Amino acid sequence: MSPLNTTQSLIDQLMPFVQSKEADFVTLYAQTVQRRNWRFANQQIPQAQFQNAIDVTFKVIRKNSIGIASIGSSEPELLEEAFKKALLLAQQNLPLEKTPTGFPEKQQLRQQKESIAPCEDIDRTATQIQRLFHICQGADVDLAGSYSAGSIETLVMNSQETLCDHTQPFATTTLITNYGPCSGFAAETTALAQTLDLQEPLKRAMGLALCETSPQQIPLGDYEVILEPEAVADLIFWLSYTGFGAKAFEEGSSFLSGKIGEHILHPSLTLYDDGNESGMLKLPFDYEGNPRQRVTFVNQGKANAVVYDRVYAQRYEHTHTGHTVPFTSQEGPYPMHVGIQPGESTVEDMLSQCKRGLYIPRLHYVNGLLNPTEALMSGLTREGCYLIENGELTQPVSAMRFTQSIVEAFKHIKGLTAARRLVSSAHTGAHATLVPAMHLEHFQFTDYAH
Amino acid sequence: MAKFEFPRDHIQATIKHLTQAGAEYADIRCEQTLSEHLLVMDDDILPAQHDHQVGVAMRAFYQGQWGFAHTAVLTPESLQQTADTALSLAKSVSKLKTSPLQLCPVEPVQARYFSPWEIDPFTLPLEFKLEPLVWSLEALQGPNEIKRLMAYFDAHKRYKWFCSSNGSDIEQTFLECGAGFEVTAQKGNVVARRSYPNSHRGTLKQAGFECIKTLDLPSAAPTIQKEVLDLLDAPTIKPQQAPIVIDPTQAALQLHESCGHAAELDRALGYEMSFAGGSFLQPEHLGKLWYGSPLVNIVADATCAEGVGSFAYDDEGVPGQRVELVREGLFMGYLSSRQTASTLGLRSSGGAMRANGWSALPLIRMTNVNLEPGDASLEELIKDIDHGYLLSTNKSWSIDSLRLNFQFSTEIGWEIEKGKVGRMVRSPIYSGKTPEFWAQCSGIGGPADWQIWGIPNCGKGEPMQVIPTGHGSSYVRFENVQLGSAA
Repeated sequence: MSPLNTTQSLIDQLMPFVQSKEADFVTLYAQTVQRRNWRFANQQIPQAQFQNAIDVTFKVIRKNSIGIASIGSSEPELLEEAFKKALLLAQQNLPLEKTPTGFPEKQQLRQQKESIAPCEDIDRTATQIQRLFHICQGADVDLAGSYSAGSIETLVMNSQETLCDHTQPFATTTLITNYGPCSGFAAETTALAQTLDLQEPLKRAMGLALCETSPQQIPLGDYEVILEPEAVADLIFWLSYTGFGAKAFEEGSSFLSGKIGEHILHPSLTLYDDGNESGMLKLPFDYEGNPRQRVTFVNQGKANAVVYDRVYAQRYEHTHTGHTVPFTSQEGPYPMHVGIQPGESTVEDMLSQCKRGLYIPRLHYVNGLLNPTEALMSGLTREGCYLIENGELTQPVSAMRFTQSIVEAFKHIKGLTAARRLVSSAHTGAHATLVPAMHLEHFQFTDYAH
Repeated sequence: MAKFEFPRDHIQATIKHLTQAGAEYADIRCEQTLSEHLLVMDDDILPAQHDHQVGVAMRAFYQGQWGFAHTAVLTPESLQQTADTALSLAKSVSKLKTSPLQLCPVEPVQARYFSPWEIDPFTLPLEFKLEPLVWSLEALQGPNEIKRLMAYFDAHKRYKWFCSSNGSDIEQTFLECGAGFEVTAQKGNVVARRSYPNSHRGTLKQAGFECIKTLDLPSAAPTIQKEVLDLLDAPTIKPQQAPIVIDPTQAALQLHESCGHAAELDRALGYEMSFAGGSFLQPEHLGKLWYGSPLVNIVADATCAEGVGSFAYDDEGVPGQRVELVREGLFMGYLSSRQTASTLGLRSSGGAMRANGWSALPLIRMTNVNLEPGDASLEELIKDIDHGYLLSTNKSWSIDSLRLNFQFSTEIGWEIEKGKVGRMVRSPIYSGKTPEFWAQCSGIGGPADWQIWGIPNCGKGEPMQVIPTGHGSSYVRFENVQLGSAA
């Protein structure tokens, strides 16, 4: 069933709950995910799946007490049961003493959906993947990867006639190519359709893998690096988690805490969150239906702001930026659509300006909890990492561990590309980054992986 | 929880429909999960949250290929439509003429299973469950340096009914409970955090509310408050090589990352290469590769009491079992599924397939990956260390795509000088390479200190599935470990 057909029927089904007189206020959000997902390796497709799931979460306020209940179903009796559970919990829960409650303002953010094309036929997808198998077989390359396509529909309603809905199509792929000991990687995500041409990323991945020289160990230490957008996105994810929300900022663990107005990063760097940006996996409103404001975290290197939801805004007397997360999360306001303003360079320009450095298409298992006040992170390189010498990719490099303060790394930016890529976060849905490739002057490699 | 009545006749009819439509094998997993989450933050009791999931997952195997689909709409029409989707996916893949997947046989089983518990938290009044959280935070409050307090309680009740075209009919009910608290303090540029009884939301056990009572959260609060305040002024450590002793909480994550994931057969065979990565433990290493010192015995035990990775049958209907991964330091076995075990030429699956709910397909997941206890006391482990460190409570974690090079930091550490635990150190990091590190294992604590911990948030697969895994360990000593500081 297409989400295009279901929005109105879902609204009709949920409307009686937000109109209920049993509570002072009811707000709910429903998220419907429909996707086809294929994972492949060893010239096989061991996982082919169709997902069609809905989650509805009710938040009920009664005499300043809140009840929250969610249900993974749109069956009428189960929805009713979940709503009653939220009412009961609101009765049982103590009134909040310090946390502000209040009601969000009325919002009507409806989407025109006629332009969303349906998902391609499953046989066509299978044929696309088969074509990749044939190309790789012909080149003696082993291929592993995934391809996922579908849509995510988010609906927010409340007692004050708030009605917001948005359906976001997407298609995303990750491809790993292995040619003997050499490997390549490419990923591609689009927010514009529910299908993707897989051959272009395959070309990129094969270009990195098809090398006659085995990966070599190079001395550990400080290197210039050129990070492709997928590598940049990993760092940005952790900056978002540990640094861009009001909770971390107010408790002092964010690298931005106490630094607003100071030049802390390179002047070419502007980091922001924008749920309305074209090309992004959009969600123009938060989980209470508040319109998402564009928030600039770092403006031309200067620490500027973090995101607030309604509760943190009231608690810390700040402007609310429309970043309420799902009610079940305890992480506080969080940016889901982080972008970096593009530069003017190209990866080719960056390479030509690098005498000795590393080209890194992706990172692995980055962790940003080591020391969030300095954005100290550790992680590893992975497939397709090359040594750059005098502007050329000269040899593949074995995986290495980095341990680096990203604040320090982002003080020394040599370039940002004009082109940006959308990077989705591990198939988690409407959550992505839109970032350029980055050329950094310093990056510390501290250990060999193998 | 009112048990949801799945439409048995329609489910059985759907299995029949799948086989009549050509599926060589089909299984249906009906799941109902009820979850409760309580959170007390700073000085407020936040609203209790309930989540209820009810749905049906279907797998169809056709000409050596899998198709998977699910639905939360349980009408006969929807069930049949979902079955047709699963089968059409398998048929679509089969048209590609890729090499067919093989499955190890599994005996049909009719069984009913309940995980053990004494007190069902879903029957308790809310105030009763909140009391230990509120009292803990009251004991932690006070000093100006304390910036954030959180205490939490989680409970999950999972009901699974698995039936398959080979005649299996298995009902299982599991109850999991967990709780803990954390405190964040700040002084100048230094931010410190302490958690109890563990980071990553405390602990999670396959048990009832009785396990929360034994934690006695409020009694631990004064010690934890003192530790977090002391950490603000504690020294960091210089880069060096030294022996370390890790406590059972940190050993749990060490086992998880460097042994559990490495021993997943789907990773070893390359099926997870595009996302999580592969494994250094390759099939040709079975029975030949020295994973660790002769003291090291690691098992994947789906039958372990209180382990959140325990079950009677996995999500393929394979009996839960105790699989030796490492025996006296030698790599001996994998966590496996019917398909991957067949690839390896094994006669049966190791029974490690689990899905994180009705909307997910089963993957090879850790059960309870445990380090068998040794016979030393903590005092014996540290008594002949001239200079080293005792490390506790995981703070950060990172490991390479083959599960060789890891780096962990912990919330807290203490110097060990001349066989005695000395002053506290802040933000210690240690790193190593899996087989070299485990080869340097020079002592393992005895059964008295052995504890099972639940890690609630192990992620794997695309789309990502988050699932709890269990890890039991005592204190463990390692020699010549690379150390540093995150501060």
